[in-house]
Amino acid sequence: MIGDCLGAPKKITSSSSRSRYRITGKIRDQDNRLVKGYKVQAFDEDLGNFLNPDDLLGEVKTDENGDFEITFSKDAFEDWFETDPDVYLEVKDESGKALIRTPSKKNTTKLMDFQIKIDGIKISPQGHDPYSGSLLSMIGALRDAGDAADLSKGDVRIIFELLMRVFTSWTANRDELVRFRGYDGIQVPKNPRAEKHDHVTRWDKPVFRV
Amino acid sequence: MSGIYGVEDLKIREERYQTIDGDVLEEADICIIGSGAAGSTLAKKVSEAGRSVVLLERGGYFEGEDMNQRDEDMLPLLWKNSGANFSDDLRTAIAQGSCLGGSTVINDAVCFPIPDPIKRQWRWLGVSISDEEWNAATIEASEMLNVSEVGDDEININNNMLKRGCALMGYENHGPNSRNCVNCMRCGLCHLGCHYETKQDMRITYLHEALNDPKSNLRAYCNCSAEKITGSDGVVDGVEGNFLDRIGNVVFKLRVNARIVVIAAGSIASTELLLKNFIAEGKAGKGLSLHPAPFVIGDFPFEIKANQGAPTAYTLHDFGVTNGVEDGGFLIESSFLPPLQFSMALPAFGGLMKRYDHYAMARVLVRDDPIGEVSLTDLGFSRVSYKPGTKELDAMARGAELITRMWFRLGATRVITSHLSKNTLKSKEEIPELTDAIRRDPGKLLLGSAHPQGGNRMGDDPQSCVVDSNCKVFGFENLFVCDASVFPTALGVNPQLTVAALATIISNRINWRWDELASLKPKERLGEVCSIKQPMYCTTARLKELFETSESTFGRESLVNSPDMNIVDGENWSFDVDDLTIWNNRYWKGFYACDDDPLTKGLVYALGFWKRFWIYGDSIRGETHPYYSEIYAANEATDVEYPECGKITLIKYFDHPYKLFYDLLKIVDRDTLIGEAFGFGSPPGGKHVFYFILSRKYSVDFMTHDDFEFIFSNKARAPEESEVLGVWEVRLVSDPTHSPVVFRFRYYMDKGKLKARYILGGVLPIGGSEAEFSEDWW
Repeated sequence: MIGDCLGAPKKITSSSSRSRYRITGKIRDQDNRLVKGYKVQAFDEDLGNFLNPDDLLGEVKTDENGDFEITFSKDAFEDWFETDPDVYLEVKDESGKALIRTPSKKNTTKLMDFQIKIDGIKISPQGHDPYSGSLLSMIGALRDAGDAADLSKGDVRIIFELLMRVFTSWTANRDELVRFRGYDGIQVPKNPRAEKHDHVTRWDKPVFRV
Repeated sequence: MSGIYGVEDLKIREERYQTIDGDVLEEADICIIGSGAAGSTLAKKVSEAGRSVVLLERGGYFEGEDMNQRDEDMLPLLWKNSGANFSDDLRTAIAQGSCLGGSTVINDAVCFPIPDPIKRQWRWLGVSISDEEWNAATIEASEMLNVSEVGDDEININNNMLKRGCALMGYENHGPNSRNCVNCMRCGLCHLGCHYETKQDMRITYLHEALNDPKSNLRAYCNCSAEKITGSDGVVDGVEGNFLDRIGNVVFKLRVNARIVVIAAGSIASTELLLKNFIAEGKAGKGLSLHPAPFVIGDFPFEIKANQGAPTAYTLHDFGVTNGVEDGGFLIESSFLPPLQFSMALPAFGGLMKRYDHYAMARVLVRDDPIGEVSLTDLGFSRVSYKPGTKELDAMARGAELITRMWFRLGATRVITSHLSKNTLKSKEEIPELTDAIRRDPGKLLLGSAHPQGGNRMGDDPQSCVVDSNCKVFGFENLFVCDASVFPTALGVNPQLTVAALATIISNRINWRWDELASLKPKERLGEVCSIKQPMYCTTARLKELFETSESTFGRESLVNSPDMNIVDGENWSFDVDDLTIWNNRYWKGFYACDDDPLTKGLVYALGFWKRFWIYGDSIRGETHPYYSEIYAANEATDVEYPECGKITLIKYFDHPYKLFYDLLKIVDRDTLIGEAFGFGSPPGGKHVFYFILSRKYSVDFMTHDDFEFIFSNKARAPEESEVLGVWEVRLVSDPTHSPVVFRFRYYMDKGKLKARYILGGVLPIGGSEAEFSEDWW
């Protein structure tokens, strides 16, 4: 009533809805029954290692209808490199046993829905990841390259240029490559063994940001 | 049984795969180092002739399903040094693969037969391979690799740009390439491994057939870096190496006893291996060519999407060896890169990647003279020194001019090059600036090399060549080098098919001369693998296994040592120069497991000991003495039998506090035994304290001060100047412990004088000094 009186300012809600993200979903087990009390954690996929670990966006337990909802804001995931989260979920049962890790949804919009069925073939979160350790391999390789490099022969300008190229390629340009340009050729998911896929899949063209 | 072995715990593989769980001791007719175009061909051809083959590959085992087409994931997995493979001035980036299948997994699948001028030139340079042999081998390899010409419908816009440009500019000799690809999916991501397994790389052709042929006996070990080639008097007896994890830590050791060893590790690594083992010194590493290839990009007002489709499908031959140019020359090849790689080839600033879809690219593939060199750094890594000469720079300038004119003629708004001082041209009037920059300021020209060749030259002159026409290393009976490193000159075309053809020829020759080659009886060694004969190289887990599964074959009498504590050469002590082992019967030297954890290391450093035994009336008495202490713990040895462990020798101590402990020994060998120390209880009860080893025979790495003094004074001589050249690893002599390598020495000749440098730490060359040696020193 007070807010309706002339002269009194209306209260504006503090958090802007522009920055609120929402994940909804439902979980069923292999017999198609709804499961209650399963813990769902949402992550933003980064490099996944100590330099840039995946961000925990939120966690919640499923209700008696197997439903869950997680909300988070930009602060939960935003960093130097990305402005939209790449979201994946990890589901654990009531005893805490890890069950499934979903594939990542990339370039996500504000509302994401995951319909999950825990079936016999699981994507194990502890499964062998053939791509981990790449950063360490690269550091090791650069060290070996550095040993063989003879700086007295090298031109400082060249070394600087090479470092700048590596830096911009891996940060600024990478964002461009994936997000702005898109790729409408044949592509496969990030972990082909773990994610069911047809061989001929197309990366979705990213939505232009305003 | 044929199969692939590796360190990683891989599941769901197409080939038979097993994870290794300990050191590997192997025996084979032939050991091949490197699984690329040459190594895999040799492996298949020799194993299907009935020989047992062990194939060693430093990289990992990856299949189509592992190729996720993303640069950041696949470069570290498939490329040598994760792609960071440079010449020492960082100007030339060299593309090589390091995985099962080698560079054939990451190349653009281009196949050219060896050009006719090259066959003649090489014969003139001492390579006795006839035209007929080359032709037959090329046909055989082409069939295995399913080589076929790229069809008109498969040529993408980027390649068509070159095709149209050639027609417009009036060139005569240009056409589509042949590729080893069947039903190409045209994703354009060949550099990152073929997910669809349509590219016929070595793994899915030669290796797949060899592994599934019931007659063949081929074991391929991945994640395995070969380090040492052992042998004496021109006869090699095998290879030693390390199994590495992703980061490069050594997890297990390998020893292969083989009758024949073939090095097929690729142009740079083969030389590295030879030099590290002091083979072909002064010769290996000389005469490297790289096919340096500057690229030229045209920025067009229409979309080209050059990264989609078969990347390198069209070539202009007019100026190259394929058109009869005998000396030098260049090809113009259409070429492109996946997004991240392309981005790293462009200048960092200027927003150039935004125009990625509008670029066409071609490169100048220069047939360079063999002017490069591969040498070793102080830490034993390879170093590539390469500076293009006037001839090469001239070819690059002419080629770059040609492509630039072509792009502008086809409507490019600008041209981008890899010269840092002139990397953008807005019109063809600027071309003289570019060619000038290339010729006069080559230091700023960034180059890519996809075809390192040479370094271990093939020929008939033992003074200047490393291998003869059979790829056999001069000075050796049974050691071969067979890969692109033996090319006496640059090939001038993409080398994949020629390397496979060469390996075909050499494997035929090895098969025909098998009885002669294999009649040598090379020595069998253990290297540094864990074995019951040398348990000091075992981890605690393996020691436990060995202890529980072994049976004592000797009794307490075999424990008795020499009554004399001084070294009496030939009686209670001897030194084997060939094996570099010491036999010492003054006492039993004690060892612990080789685990890296603090507990075991603590035991090693603090509780190194020896035991000795003598006859005392009817019994055997002994004493245990930790080094550097006053303790001589008296004990007695008796043979007992317990239901839990069978026949065993029990060591009981007399005095306090040692009588709280006892040892159980299993004596399986005259000179080596494994013991388990117990405490706080009497046998057979009591708590396990640790495992230990007693041995009368050990490698010189474990020598004591006494051993050192005796060998230095009585068995050693001053070396000749030439004998000390190279890199030496230095360990400290210590009675109780096995010292790691603490620093390295490098002796080298500088303007006729012998000099030395030492490198502290063995990790970074942070310490160094120069020393001069004069005649008086010796």
